[in-house]
Amino acid sequence: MNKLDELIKESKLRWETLHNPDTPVIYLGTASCGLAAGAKEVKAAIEETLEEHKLTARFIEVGCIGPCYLEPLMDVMVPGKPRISYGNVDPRWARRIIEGCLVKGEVVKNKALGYLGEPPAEEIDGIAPFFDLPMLKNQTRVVLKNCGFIDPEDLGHYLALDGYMGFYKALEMPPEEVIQQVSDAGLRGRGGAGFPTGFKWQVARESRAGEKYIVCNADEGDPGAFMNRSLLEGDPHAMLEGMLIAAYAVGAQHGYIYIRAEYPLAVKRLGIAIGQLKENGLLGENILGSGFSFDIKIKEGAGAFVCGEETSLIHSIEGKRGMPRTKPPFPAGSGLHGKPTIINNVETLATVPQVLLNGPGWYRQFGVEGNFGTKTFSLVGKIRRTGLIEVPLGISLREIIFDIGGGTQKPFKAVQTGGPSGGCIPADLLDTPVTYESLAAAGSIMGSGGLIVMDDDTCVVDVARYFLDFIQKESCGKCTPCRVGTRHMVELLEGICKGNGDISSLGKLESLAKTIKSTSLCGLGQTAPNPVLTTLRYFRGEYVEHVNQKYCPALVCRSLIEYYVEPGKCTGCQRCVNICPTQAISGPRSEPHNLDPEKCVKCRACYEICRFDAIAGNAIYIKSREEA
Amino acid sequence: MKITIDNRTVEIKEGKNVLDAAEEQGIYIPHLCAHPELTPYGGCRLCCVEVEGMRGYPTACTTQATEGMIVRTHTKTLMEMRREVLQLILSEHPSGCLVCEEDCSDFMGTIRKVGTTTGCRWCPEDGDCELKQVVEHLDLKEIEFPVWYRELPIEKYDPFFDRDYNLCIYCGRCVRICGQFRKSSVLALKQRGRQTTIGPPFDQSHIDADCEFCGACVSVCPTGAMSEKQRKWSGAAQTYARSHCPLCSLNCEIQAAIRGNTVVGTLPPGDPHRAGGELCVKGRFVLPELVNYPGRLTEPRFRFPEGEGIVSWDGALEKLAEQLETVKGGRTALYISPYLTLEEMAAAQVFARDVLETPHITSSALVPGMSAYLTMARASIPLKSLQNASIIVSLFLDGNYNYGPLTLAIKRAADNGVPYYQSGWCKDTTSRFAARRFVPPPGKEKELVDGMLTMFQTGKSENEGIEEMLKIIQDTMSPVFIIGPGILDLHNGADILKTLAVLVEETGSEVFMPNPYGNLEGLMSLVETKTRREVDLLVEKGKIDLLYLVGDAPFSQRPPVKCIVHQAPFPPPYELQTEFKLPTPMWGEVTGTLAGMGGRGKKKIKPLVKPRDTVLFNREIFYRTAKALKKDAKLSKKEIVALASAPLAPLILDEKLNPGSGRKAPPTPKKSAYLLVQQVNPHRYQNTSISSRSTGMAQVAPEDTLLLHPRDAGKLELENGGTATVSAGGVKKTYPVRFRKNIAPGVIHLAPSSGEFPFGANPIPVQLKAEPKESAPKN
Repeated sequence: MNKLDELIKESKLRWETLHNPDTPVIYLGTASCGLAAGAKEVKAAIEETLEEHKLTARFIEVGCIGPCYLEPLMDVMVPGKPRISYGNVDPRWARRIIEGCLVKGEVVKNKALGYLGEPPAEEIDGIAPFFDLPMLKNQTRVVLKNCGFIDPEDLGHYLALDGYMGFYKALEMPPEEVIQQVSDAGLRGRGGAGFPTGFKWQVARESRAGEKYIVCNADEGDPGAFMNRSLLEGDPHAMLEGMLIAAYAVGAQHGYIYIRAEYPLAVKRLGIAIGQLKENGLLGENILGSGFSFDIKIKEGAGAFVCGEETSLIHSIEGKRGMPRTKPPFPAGSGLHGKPTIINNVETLATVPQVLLNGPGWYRQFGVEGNFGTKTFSLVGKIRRTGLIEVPLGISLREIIFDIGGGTQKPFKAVQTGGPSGGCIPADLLDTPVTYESLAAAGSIMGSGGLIVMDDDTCVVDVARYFLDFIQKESCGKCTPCRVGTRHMVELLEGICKGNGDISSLGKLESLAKTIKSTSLCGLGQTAPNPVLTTLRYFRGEYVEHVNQKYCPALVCRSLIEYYVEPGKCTGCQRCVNICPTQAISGPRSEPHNLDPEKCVKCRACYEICRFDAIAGNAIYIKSREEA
Repeated sequence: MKITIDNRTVEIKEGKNVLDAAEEQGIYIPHLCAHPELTPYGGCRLCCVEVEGMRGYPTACTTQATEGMIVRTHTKTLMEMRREVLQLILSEHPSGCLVCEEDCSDFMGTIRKVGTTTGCRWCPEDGDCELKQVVEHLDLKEIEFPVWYRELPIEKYDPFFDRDYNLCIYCGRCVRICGQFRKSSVLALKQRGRQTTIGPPFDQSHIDADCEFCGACVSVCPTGAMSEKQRKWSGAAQTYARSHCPLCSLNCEIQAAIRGNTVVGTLPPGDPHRAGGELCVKGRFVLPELVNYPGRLTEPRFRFPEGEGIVSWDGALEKLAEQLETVKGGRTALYISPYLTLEEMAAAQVFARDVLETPHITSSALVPGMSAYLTMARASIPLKSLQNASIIVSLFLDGNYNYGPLTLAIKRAADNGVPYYQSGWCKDTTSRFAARRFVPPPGKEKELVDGMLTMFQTGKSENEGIEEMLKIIQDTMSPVFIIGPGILDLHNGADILKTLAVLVEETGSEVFMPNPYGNLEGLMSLVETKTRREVDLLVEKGKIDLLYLVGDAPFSQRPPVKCIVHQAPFPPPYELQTEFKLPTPMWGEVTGTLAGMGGRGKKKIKPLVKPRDTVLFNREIFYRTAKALKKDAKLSKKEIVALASAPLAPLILDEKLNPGSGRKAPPTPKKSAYLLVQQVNPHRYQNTSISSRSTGMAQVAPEDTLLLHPRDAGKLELENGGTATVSAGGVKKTYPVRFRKNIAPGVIHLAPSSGEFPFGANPIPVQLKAEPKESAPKN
């Protein structure tokens, strides 16, 4: 263990220096979310500015710290000052921040969000701790503790923050005790179903098979969910450490990370991390002289939603078509190549090191009885503060949406949990605590952690149609109800959205949903009707309005709405004329414009530009067909 | 083990699933994806049942029966659920014939028997429809859901079977039988969701995807999505009759589907509606094509000085007797087909001895080395023993479209972990399963085999791979050598065979040696033959006046004889001018016996249909001719049957008279040369080449065509269907070109229709040049 001990010592020293630097350190969040928001351009601007002013500074790319609505995020730490985070940085601001901090030696307050790490010796006016931001204040960071904070490509950073200490501890215990600790902590599968992790491990442990496998399920496919991606991009070692512990506990020799090929950055960082582990004797034969051997392979999936289902995932790794099979036998008994296989979600595995490091008692302080610990969610949709969050279980949906997410612009309507397999939970159930059982009681599921918030501008029929269409397209085609039944549901929903439905459509939807739920082969089909069933349960009125009055209250369903220009308000600015893709709007400058409903494809572009452009007069309206 | 099904407690064997257990008790649970030869799938969801203590509605096919299990199979909920699922299935399947109560049979104006507007266009509607059974069982009368026709194009460009995936219900049986059972993995499910379809990956054609055309997928399809080209519009079979395939030495058991007086199809044994079977393409698809071939000889013909004309049998036989009277015994030669029954062969033998009084009897199959090959093949083990082999070594075996049960047995054994080594240039369906392939350089085939023997005897290693193979042979109990008749296509095949015999002997191995002739074994143990070369030489030198061809015609041009009697079911090849054309019945119309593989276990074949009135059985022709000549020949039916049913004698052929193979050793290859492998076309029946009589076989195994790997074609800028010139040793020939992925790159295969190898040595390094598109083959 000497070599690693030395490495840890050295890493701690490096970490220390990094936080008491003699040259400035610039951190930039360049996870996929940051890159999407423009971090690449910001990076170029930073490099350019440094070059221009002949400045020396360390530049470190970090993962995602959570608040998507503040991306790109950039931290600057000048010697003697705390690490200060700046949000919504564009190249122009990046230049100003560098010049401000490094040349003038001041804090650029316009964009400053707060400081990270220890409080500064002398208070800086208006700069509070970063984690006091309203979005972050109510979060509990266990799994995400390193995300956005460390360099994910530097093993030293992870080691300096007690990395692989959980694994160290595990190696000193008999495997059974490791499983006991995980069981005691009450850890349940974070992939969505909430199966007790310790129990699953126990089954595989007890199997006498010589070969066993650990598979990390990183096939995150729910629309709007990105927890696993962010975690793997920001802190790949957390999951890898969990895998090592799991392998040790169940006696597995081989590990697979099944990850979607659409996550290239995560794949790259996992590859780097695995290389580092091999280099330092944490992976391979006889790890740290303990006699325990383990190797990990990355298997990139081609992006089929159904491959998130355990048995499909196994088939996919085996090189077969990703199609599920009937369980039992469960993978823990007979999985990959017929051998006992533990399939755990990324987040489950990333939680394990913390449990081992701090003990089950520590972990049980988070959450509520039966639902201990924390859960990460991706908070998206019509919400003010979008992002990746981690909260203790048992917290209410209201706290998540209103305290952390800052609520919605228009009145809140519903929140969809659990992706396409989940359901919509309406406003009057907002006080539902986030636990596996209570969400199921509300007709939804915990799922892997996507929370899609909807307000009055969202049509629930349209949402149900969207999710069913997604399922229908992602169905593997093996079993009849899922392949054909979901298609019939989509057609019915499309009919309703187009105003062709009648009240009997609702009955047909319900009976089809029942058949699909009870006869489908795998979880994908069995849960597919959930979005329809929950919306029918909580928003039946809206469906009825669609079929009886041909009215879409959210003014979303295109066949049921018309666009028109309010002449009194129109400033004649021609912004809408220019943006209209079908030349449906016409009219000379400074005079009220005309909208030709025949040509209009209801793309909403004019509506948006008229509402938000400074010179426009908010003159474009959407009316239901009835009103029109 | 006791379980309770529908309130009946019954005793069942362990390890059964609920579906089988119920079926055993006579309880039918509707199902479409489950199939006795396949592992449970759970796709159609029709066999859902209620099991006490289990969540939801598990499918009977995927649920293991356990002690004390309480199952309900026909509750109201279940029936409702099944009806709903069935409706979902039928919402994707044209269902006029299934749920419509109107009788439209009077209005069917076309031979298709099904409506075009309903989308049933390509459905054979021959009663071979499990979907229909399920609809009837569930008593479904209407479909509440809108019906979608998928509008997929009908796939009819591959040989032997057509596919209309608009009729497909995605039970996955075809995909599974292809992968699990036949180990071919040609078919796959493609795309997902509503776009899911079935076919070879990447939209390849079946030929390109290495399909063996075994037809198992067609057999197991529960709908009309897959249909045999030649059987499709023949209607439902009325009876099924057992027989054996005469197209190679394996003599596989088959069952013929018969309607009226026509063999409409041939199927593997077992349930004719669903057995996947182990047949090869010839047994599964080609036999009916041959029997029903429209160009068969139908009436006796005689060539008058002024031209050929139809004559009566009496007239024909009278003329034949006249002709025979003028010829001296020693100046007659008789060629007998190796595809005839023992009875026909016996009759020919008696006829030759007592009527023609000639010793010159031979067969096209009696090429040099064949006698040695067959003698060695006598020791062939039963095919099923291959599963117990400790290692399988195949030499010069070309399993493409041939020896289906053999290649399947190899693949199954290899899949179960039996080490499999392949040697020779042939790449076939087994190659994928080979641990190693040894491809000898041209002309060095003997060195390869000699090397194996030397290495085995001395223990000295020259080749790592062969050493590895020999070590397994030495260390294990039951090594098996499979030697293909391709070895006889080599210039020194007979010599190599001698070495192989020693190797087999010294290693204590078993052998399996198939040949492409249906009854050569019988011919060689029943008839006193000479080698073909010997008789051919007599013919060439003008020492023969009359050629008597019994189902055999190994001549591409008329030899220098005065008279040819051609007695066979098909017209002679190459429009060979013959004085007599005497039509005979063929397999399916005759009763008789085949010797069977290794001469053990004779196989009876029965007449399945009546032959035309205008053809005459071989024995009858002989018998009546003998009568006309007033010769005392024992040619009565009883006498012939007695002859044929005697135990098979050892092989009779004196190879001392073998005047050499007549083939040269190949020259040393230049760089950039391709290896041309010439092959006696193994796809024959009596006097005809199957490749020329079956449109499907012409597509998969064409004669006089260069088959080469597309990778080579790319280098030469050749096109599939184009032409190319092959040149070697001063010989230049132009042939059409077809691409095949199931052969090795660098190797060109050629099966000359004449059976003569145009390039002498074999295999031979050749130069290949693409011809401009316009130029047609010159030869």
